[in-house]
Amino acid sequence: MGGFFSTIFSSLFGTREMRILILGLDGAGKTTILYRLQVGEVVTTIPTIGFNVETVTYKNLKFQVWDLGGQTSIRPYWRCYYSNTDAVIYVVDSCDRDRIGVSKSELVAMLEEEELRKAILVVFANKQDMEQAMTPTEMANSLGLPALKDRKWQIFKTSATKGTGLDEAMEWLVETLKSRQ
Amino acid sequence: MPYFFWLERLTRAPLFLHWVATNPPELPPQLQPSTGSASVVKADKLGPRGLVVPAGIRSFQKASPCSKRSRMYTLLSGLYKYMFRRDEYCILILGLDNAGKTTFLEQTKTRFNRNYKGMSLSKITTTVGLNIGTIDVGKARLMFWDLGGQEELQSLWDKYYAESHGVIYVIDSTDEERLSETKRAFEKMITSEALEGVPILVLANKQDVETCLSIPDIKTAFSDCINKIGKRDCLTQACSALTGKGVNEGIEWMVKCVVRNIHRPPRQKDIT
Repeated sequence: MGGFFSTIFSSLFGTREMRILILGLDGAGKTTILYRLQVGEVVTTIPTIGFNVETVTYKNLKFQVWDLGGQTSIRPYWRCYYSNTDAVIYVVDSCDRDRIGVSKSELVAMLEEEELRKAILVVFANKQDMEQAMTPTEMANSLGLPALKDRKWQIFKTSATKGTGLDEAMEWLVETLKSRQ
Repeated sequence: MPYFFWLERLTRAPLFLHWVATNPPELPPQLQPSTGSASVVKADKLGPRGLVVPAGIRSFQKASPCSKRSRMYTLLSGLYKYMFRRDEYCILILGLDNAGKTTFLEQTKTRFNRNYKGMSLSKITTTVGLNIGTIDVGKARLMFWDLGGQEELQSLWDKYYAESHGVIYVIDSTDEERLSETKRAFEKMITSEALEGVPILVLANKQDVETCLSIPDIKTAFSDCINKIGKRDCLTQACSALTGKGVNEGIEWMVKCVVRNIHRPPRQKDIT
């Protein structure tokens, strides 16, 4: 009986925490983005070995944001965090043209996972403040995104250090996740 | 599952029986009832326990009950497939940025899907990527691909041409200045070989705004595209994605056209 009431109560008033993963190669700026979202300022970061997890509230929607380390040796552990994920933020360094191929293959392997079949994909073309940053079209092509035919995806130009583009991206994510509920 | 789901399927049963009558189920060769010459060959071989089995008995015991059962199975599985199959068509939504493509998609999804709580239309922002949506109209399932319309993103459009069954091209009727730009993009799209014979629905969107261009105005502006359209279905439809005027008519026309377009057969998908 108590369980019944609590289900009704939570369906009326409670908002489920959205689970979001921030993934990407090492040095793409995942941790900087996480803390920019949470505390709104740039923090000095060291390479993440393991993960950071924070709760971010945005427009009355609670996000549980997981930032997983991106180094080659720890990328295989990403899959342990895939279940119940609502959205994946894939961070790419827009200036790192040499490793965009690696980034693509990691992304493709990730999206093949059954557990992420329903997750929304948001690509952050990060470090847009730098010169020679890739344009969204260039990035979409080099990540092979046009081959994704049954998943919603969107690219945002961001700069985690300057803080540009993050608000629009979060706004879009909130609206998209709300309509999906 | 709502009762009309089953009702809809039951009403299809007579159609199916007719279909069965006209297409008798094919049996795989090893299950075909064996005929004279084939069983003679078999008679040389030894039976399961080392006994020589006469040809007639062997074929009677083995082949005929089995084939009956398999025929029944084929019939039932065919019925099952027939009732739970949908023809899937992919529809591209193209047009310049700010034409209203995503709004149109959201409006369509809200109108054709029960219990779909759409995005609030005022909150829609620029698409830099792909939005998807699926609706069921009768026996057809339409899958929409809504692509970003900014100039640099237009280079991604042609990656979707080969797999699409129809195109909805959205025009902002209030933006007279960009009419020539939208015409250029339209021309580039229709002259693409990968889209040959694909039906095109041109939506003159934002007709709720009073100062907008009317359908005849747009048709005049696009008049020199006519000979490039070639052999395909094409309709210009007034529409307002925001209020929903003209959306149903457009979708119904599109369904009719993709179903009758034999050059692009649908993908078939089981729904269970």
